[in-house]
Amino acid sequence: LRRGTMFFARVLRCAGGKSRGPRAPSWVSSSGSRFPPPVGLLPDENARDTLMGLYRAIFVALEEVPAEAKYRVNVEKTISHRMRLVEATEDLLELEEKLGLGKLEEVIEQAKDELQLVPFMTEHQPWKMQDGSVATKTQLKIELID
Amino acid sequence: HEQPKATEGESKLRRKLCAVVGVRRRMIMRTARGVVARGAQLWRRYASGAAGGAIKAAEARTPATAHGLKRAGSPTTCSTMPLLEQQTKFMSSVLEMIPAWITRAQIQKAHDITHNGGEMVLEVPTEVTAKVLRFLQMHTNAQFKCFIDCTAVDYPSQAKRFKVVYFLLSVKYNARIRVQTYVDEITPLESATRWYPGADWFEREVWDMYGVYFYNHPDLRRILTDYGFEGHPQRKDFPLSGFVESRYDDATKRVVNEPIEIAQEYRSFDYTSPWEVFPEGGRARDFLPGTSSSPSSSEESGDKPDANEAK
Repeated sequence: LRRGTMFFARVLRCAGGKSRGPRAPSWVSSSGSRFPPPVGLLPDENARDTLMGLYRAIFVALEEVPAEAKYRVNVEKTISHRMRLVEATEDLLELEEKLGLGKLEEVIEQAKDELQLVPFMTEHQPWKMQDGSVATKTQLKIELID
Repeated sequence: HEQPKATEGESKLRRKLCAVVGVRRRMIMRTARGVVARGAQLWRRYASGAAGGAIKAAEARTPATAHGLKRAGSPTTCSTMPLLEQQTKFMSSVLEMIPAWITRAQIQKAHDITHNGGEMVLEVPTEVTAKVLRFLQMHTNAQFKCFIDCTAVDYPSQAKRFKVVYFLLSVKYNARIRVQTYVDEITPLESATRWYPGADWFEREVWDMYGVYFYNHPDLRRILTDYGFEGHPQRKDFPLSGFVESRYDDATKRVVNEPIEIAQEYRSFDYTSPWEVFPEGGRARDFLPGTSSSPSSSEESGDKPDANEAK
């Protein structure tokens, strides 16, 4: 049995490309060069699954927001675009490059923040105008001052 | 994890490994599948090629970043949109998302040719300052997670005389934004420390210097003025030299605060001449129009050098 496992370990190592040490964590770049995230964020092997879960949760949370509110429309646009990319790409490094938003762990942080923001917005409802209706057009113009 | 169904290549490899090693089949299946799957992945990436990947990435990228700030600095996401346009797009998206929370939106110094864009400024009602800050902090297209400064300005001619300004920075998008409110002496503002702990001392300074109260602040007390100091020094109606002066009193052997005595007369500059005009003084009145020719008192002119020395 032991002879068998040693053989498999060797097979895996050959298939993986560069060999990791026996105790090196899995995210140390052995295939491709996906380097760990900045200090403070834990590296996530299953970043895609985490992201998809968070994005689905954001969609669920957004159901509290009225459908015509621009906040919901914009967030859905952004999140669905990211979801499409995450679903389409399997390789994590490629996904990072496609998203162009930094490390995947940072993207996870952004999703968590948006997920925290949605109930905050639902509570305070800034899209509601004076008469209680949902604002569809902004009356304000952006002043460009010199 | 959904494992892909075993392909023919996989079963072939599995059988081969079984034949060589003779270990239990289940174990081989798990590892062999992983090996073959990884190989297939690598092959796919190699086969699709760098060019194809980049084009797909570019196509995928355009819809999302249409409403807002782009990540600067990264070569793959370097935007071709000028900064002013980015800022305008971002401001309009913020305006349409939180219309009830904004009274005015500006981009100042918009057409300054030295810089690529202007300075984004949002004016908000007094009740929602902290909420707007939270939104800007947390929203994906904003992410102004860095608190830079909180200050105030006094416009005594207005009823709401104090303009309280918050400065934020987004490191991810390399963008800055100002959030400002107009508030009078008695209206309290919600403290930003709930979302930005770094706002602590800045709000203390605004309280100390202007008298703007922040509720829900963990520790709102004076920060720059002396203990027991009365007044808010940066208000425009607070004189430059203040109301009290300190001196060491030998009788009581301690420092005492007494009402200020300014021995020097108030110096007024009307800028009609480059030199300071002393109405009671000597020859300037002979040459300058409008100066009164009252008799000069030697006492007053004598006092002036002393006062200057003391100052």
